[in-house]
Amino acid sequence: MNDKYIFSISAKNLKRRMRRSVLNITSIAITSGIFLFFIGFYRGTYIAMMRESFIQLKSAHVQMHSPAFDDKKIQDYVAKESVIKDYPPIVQKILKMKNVTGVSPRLISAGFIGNGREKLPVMVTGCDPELERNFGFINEALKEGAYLDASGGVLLGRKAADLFGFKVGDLCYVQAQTVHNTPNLLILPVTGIYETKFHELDKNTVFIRIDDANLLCDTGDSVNKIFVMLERMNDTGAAVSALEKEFGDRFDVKPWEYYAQALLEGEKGDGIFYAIFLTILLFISVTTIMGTMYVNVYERIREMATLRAIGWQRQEIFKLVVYESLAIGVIGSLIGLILGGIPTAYMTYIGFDYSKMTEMVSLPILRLISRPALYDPFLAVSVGIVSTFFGGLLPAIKASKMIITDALRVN
Amino acid sequence: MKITAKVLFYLKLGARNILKYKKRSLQVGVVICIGGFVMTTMGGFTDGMYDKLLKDMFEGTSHAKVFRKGYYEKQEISPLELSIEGYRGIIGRISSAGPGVKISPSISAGTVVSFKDNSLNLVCQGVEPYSGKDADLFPAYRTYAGSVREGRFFKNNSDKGVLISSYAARNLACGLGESIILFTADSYGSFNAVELEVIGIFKTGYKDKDENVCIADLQSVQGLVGLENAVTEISLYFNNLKESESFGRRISGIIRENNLEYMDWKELLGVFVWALKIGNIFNFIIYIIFIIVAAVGIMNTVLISIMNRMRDIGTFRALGFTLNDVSAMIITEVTLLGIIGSAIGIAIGVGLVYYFSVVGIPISDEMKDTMGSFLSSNRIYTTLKINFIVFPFFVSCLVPVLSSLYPLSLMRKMHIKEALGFL
Repeated sequence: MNDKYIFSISAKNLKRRMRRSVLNITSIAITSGIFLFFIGFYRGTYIAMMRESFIQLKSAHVQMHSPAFDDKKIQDYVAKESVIKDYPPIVQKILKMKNVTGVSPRLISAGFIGNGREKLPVMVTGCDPELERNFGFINEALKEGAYLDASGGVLLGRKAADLFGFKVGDLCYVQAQTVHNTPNLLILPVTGIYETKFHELDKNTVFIRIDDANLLCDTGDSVNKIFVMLERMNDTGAAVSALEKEFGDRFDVKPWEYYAQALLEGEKGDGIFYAIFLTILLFISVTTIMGTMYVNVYERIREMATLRAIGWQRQEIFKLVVYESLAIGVIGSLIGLILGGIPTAYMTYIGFDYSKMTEMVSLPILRLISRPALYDPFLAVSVGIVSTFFGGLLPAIKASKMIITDALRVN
Repeated sequence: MKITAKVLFYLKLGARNILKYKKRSLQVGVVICIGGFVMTTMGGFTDGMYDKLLKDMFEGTSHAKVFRKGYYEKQEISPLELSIEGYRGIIGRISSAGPGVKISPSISAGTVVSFKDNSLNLVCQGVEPYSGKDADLFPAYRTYAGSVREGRFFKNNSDKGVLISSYAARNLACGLGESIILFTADSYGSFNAVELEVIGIFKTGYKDKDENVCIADLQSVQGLVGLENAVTEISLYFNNLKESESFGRRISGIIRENNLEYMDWKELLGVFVWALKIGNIFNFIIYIIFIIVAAVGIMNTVLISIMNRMRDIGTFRALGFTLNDVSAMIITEVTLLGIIGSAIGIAIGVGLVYYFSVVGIPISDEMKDTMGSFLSSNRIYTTLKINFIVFPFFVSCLVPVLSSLYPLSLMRKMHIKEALGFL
């Protein structure tokens, strides 16, 4: 008996107990649809959106700083031991390295911006506008005004600008502590207003020229951090090794993962939750199919015994049962592709604005999106088929092992 | 048959059928057990955690606040021109409208705090921490009062001085009893400074409080910012949280007359409430998906069970049992399964939630820092509430009953003769 013929009998058997088959197909359809949705959602939201946003808006792929610099001690960001002098040749060297797409030397200091009456605590970030243009996000996020140019000025986030009612051209007071721990003040025109939807940037960070920052902090010609952007996230390990080899004796080199521990922890926790949830759903589907197939075998025991009596082999009976459950898997998975495909498509092309969350947590979780891959439908169908295979396996083994004479006597 | 005798009969038959069809009963029971477990643990972890976070946050936020109109949107820049003048009179009137309400005025101002060669940017809160005739400690300051490591909290509203965090003390290299200088721009547009004695050093565990805030007496801060008869906010605390929503309407006249605005806890914790809503929607979707898959599985099993017992059912019908009697028998059987399955699942879930309510779930320093305003320790604790037992139990018992309705409807369509001859 060839497999095609056995499969056609199995498929026809589905119609014999239509309601049962429909319920099993529904169960598999929902499970594989959810699986399809969740793998795209996890890849889109956690890997693509959160990690890429974090790298782009917060950490870059790699950071370098003096060994005395401590990220947790904001008040010591601008201290004599924390700054890096003679940074331009270092930057040029890094720019020539493999896979490096951008380098941004920055002088970052805790400070205030204000209008002469009120003030807001911010991180004052001095940057090289030309290097920053190729490096980061500010240029693309600019909504009003112009980018920093040779005349200086300050770039503010939308939320900070709205608090003071600043418009392009207004004068902004930028205050910070110098390297000698004395307060200093610069009055700079607002050159541009950007909006990234990341609260930490839009409200609590301002960008000025690096020479203005050095003037403000009285640090000469220094920076305290060098941010490095690479072609791909996966290049980070190799880049860190190369930078450590070149500069490891003078600087600490840290990959983005060092700064993203909270993000990765949350990603892992959520991943475990989704995995447990999907496992439970699969378990329920598999046990439902197993129960159904056991009953199918029991109900058709005389029929199968008759088939054996007329010459069917054990493995053909085995296949008869397994193919029936596989047919449920195939049909259910295909329907599941539609059920899971619709929300996946919505999340891929529209998504869900989650930027409000950045007011609560200092992570750039801007949108919930899906990023499906071409192989996701194959994975979802495989999950459906494999789970139905295992659901039908034990009943098939039972059916194939029956003794013909005993089975024929069953009422 | 009398009703009690009938019910007992159904229960006996239900129990007998459960034991007779062990595999099927186990299958349904396991699904219900998992369902009850999932709902209890999800409720305990998410709702329980949110409730705990909310409770902790009220101690720092108050149930409601009154501001001068326009102040709240700009509060981060401390707009001193938007202060509440004549606040004592306003507090008196609010007190009359709500005698049980605790009220506390305060001023927030961004300052530079200096000690010798060291300085730090902090938000200074000028407070009157005791409220009411009995001079009870206002709940929003319990966190600070309870976390003083050295020195003391304010003894009364006339007590002068400043409390700083251990983080600030370390960075300023100053200690208890030493005088620090608070420097800021005042409401007249010039700069002003005040010297205050450090009377206490606290450590709350909340990053934003420990790294950004110092607490001083109201009078000193009023002098510092030039707001002698004004404050920037009036905090309210109710015996019952729900009162905060209606109290705003009760004092609407006072609010309007004085060009103020009233914000209850939902508006004050806007983002948190939004995140809570999103979390609840997500949980709801998970529950629904789970219920659907479980219901489909149970429906299938019950359908098979009924079809296999059709001849038995036909026999019962032939003996005089009505369709309702037979339906009641089957519903009793699935309900019993629901009760047993959900009891086991919920018991395991409750155990897990209780364990983590005592031991807590450890989180890293980085995660704690990311959630700075909401977490005071490196552990997240769940809460056990009766809702997380009753609701999952109810749903876990209901789902199998509802799942069996469709198979029962098929059974009801079958004539006795058909049922007796069913193969």
